[in-house]
Amino acid sequence: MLIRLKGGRIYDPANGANGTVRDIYIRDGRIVADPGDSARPDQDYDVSGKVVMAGAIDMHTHIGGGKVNIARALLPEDHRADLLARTELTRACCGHAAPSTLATGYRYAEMGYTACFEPALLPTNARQAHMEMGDVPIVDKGGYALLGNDDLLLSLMREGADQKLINDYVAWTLDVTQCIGIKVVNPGGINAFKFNARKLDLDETSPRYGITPRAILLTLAQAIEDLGVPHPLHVHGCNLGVPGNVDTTLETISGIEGLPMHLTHIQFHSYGTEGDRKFSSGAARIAEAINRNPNISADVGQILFGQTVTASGDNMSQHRNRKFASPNKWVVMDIECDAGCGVVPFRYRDQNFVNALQWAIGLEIFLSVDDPWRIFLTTDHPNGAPFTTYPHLIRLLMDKTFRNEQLARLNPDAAAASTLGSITREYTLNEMAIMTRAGPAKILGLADRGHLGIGAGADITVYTDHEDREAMFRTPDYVFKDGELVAKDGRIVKVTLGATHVVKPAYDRGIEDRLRPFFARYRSTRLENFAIDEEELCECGSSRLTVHQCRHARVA
Amino acid sequence: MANRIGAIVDHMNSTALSRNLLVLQDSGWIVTTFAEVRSRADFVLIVGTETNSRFPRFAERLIDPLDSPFSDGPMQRSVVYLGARPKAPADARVLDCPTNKLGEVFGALRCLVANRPLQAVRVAGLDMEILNGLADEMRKAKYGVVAWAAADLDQPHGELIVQSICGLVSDLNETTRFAGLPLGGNDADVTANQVTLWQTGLPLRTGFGRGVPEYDAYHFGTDRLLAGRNADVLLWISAFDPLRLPPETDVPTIVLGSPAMRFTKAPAVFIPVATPGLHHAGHFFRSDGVMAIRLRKLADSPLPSVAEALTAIEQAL
Repeated sequence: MLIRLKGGRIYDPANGANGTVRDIYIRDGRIVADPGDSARPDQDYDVSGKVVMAGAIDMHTHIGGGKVNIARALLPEDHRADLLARTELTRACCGHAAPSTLATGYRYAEMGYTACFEPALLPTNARQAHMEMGDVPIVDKGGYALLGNDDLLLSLMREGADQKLINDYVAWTLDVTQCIGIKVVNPGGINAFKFNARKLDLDETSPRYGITPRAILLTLAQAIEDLGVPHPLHVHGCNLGVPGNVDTTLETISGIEGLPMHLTHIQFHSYGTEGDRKFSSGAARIAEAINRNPNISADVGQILFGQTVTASGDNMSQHRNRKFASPNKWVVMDIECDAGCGVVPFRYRDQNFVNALQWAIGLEIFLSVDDPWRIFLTTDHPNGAPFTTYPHLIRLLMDKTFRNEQLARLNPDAAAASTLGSITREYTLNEMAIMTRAGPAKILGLADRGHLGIGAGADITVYTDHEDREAMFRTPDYVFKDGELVAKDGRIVKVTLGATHVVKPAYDRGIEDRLRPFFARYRSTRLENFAIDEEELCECGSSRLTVHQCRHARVA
Repeated sequence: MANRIGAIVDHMNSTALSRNLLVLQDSGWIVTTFAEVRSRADFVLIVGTETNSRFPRFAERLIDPLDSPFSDGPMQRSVVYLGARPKAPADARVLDCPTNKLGEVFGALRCLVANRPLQAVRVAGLDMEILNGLADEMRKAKYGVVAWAAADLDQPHGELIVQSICGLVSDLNETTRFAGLPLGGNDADVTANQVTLWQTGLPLRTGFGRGVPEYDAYHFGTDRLLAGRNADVLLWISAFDPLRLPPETDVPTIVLGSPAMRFTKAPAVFIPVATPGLHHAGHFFRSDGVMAIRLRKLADSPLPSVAEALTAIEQAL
């Protein structure tokens, strides 16, 4: 079947189209060249004057896995306020802060998103995460496996294992957990918390292993580099949420010694200690560091006001943050000598000095980083706000007048402490297409997503160009997933299954002989029962495994 | 299918499971998993009477092994059993206490751990000396664990015992590390709850009668629905255990169950089904409620899986 999208204004930064008017042809789920006058489209969509972009990609969103389900269990009252009724096509479910997997897929697709990446997949919990992601319909999925607090890696490092062995362990982890990247959360800190440490600075040695977070970051970043994994080490740094952590973050940037590194929800790591309340914005220093270091990328983790829930692997920080729980209930877990998690409901208030300044800090970072290819639009869903707030966030970034109106409503001391009011930048449609499509595809190594070139997967979103960018981005006219129309005017018209994106760097299978005794003695599952194969993924609801290329096949 | 026909989804073990769930919804908790207990716990308090019979390999897998990646020699582990004549090994330390007094014991321990004065000579039949010693031992533990099976706390408002355990664990974390270990998972109760949670956003005892999911831990309990004749059909699924028969009721009953089931009262319809992990692949959440385990197919069966049977029924509707 041939589909034509006729006369749209194409924003396709990966291929240099910035509002260019041209037709797009789709056949068998892919974008194809103009087949010539003799070919008659089976379906023709007149999109003249409309804005056409690739489907959006959320490169950091907590959509599945144990901690998300704990968040769901914790907040039935939040769900009751946001019920999705059964329709002919979609099932009854709940949304808001920790939406059901079904609501997650429906609402992402309705907003024009076609791929979501779960950023904290504990290797021991990979099976549950993939089961949940398999039940997120329509959108493609992928996960980042968590390393850096597991007793296995820390034991290897303490024994002085060489980098080659660690590279094999990292590649094996990616392989058996079916992931596309590696994330480290509070490096060494989650592990240290199990030994009753309550903080672990970048150069502090961990209680049992005598290893610093800095060394863990360097070792894992080197492994990613050696293995040629496209996505840089995905880092949730030390001291999340602690005033003064801007210095830790800057040290983390210089400490990685030029290796590629992605700093996630950097807003939560950009706090100074100036002013009467010893809480200030470190955004300018962070943005300057990102601008100066081309090896660094970041997503923001913007906060927006209202009820949400924070779900994180960082149980050390979450235990500290329990005092702010609203409503007052929270969960902290230690998990399987592998990692941990903490779930704390939050209500961000615009009249609260700290919350208001957090809001401003996030926007300052967005607007002060020069290169839109290295900064990504996230709220760290649901930690800063639910993903359904993205259209509002986009308007804040694209509309200075609107932004300043919102700023004027906040806690006045926070507004006064921020430079936001003096920032005049407005993101363009092209920059928005970079930040939400081309950029994420590039940094994840998704060759055939995030763009509209010939051969790309036909994940396409069509918007009416509306001055109110929130309205525009909330309700696209058409959303195509792999060439099928899945949403029209913000309503689901077809429910499909998404693919799972992974990488498979080459490694020495002999690593399993090294790992097997640890599993047999100390873990409660045997190594043989740990791996997830493609058949199991598809049984869980994935349409297929899509393997992306690593930069090189093998490290000497 | 529940979504399609407007049914309520519940589990045969929900009454026990909800003792934990209500606490999670009300105050949250600090909990841990098997591998952490095995390798890290230097103190384990086992609450209830049937832990070792409900979970026959609990002691063998988690309590008895004393080699640890965190200690150079064998680790020291204190183990205490607390409950109404708990089934414990002959040489175990046992504190005998009726189930309905467990909440008092944990209330007293919270008081002692916080160094608050307690005007009592005895709590739930236990001398203060014993409780003081226990509180002291808990404070000094480096990684302590309190394990319970909600099924053992079978009394009105058993969830309050769970809440007092979790409160104590939370208090102990002010100065040291401690964690709860809620044991469950039998008959796939945790599995059913996890899947219901992620697909709908709400736990078991969620109904679809009004086109949106509605959760009601009280009114949507199976026994209450049947007793009040507020359900007009019962669909009972037990693919693992042929001994788990449907409750006696006048409400027409359909059973999807093991072919080994023997009924005292024949259901309206009985569809024999295959067993997951024996006749077909599947998934199962382990007894710590966290780890999902892959079930594999080991033998052929002519019988349909529960999923196949339900899909066929739904298609015929």
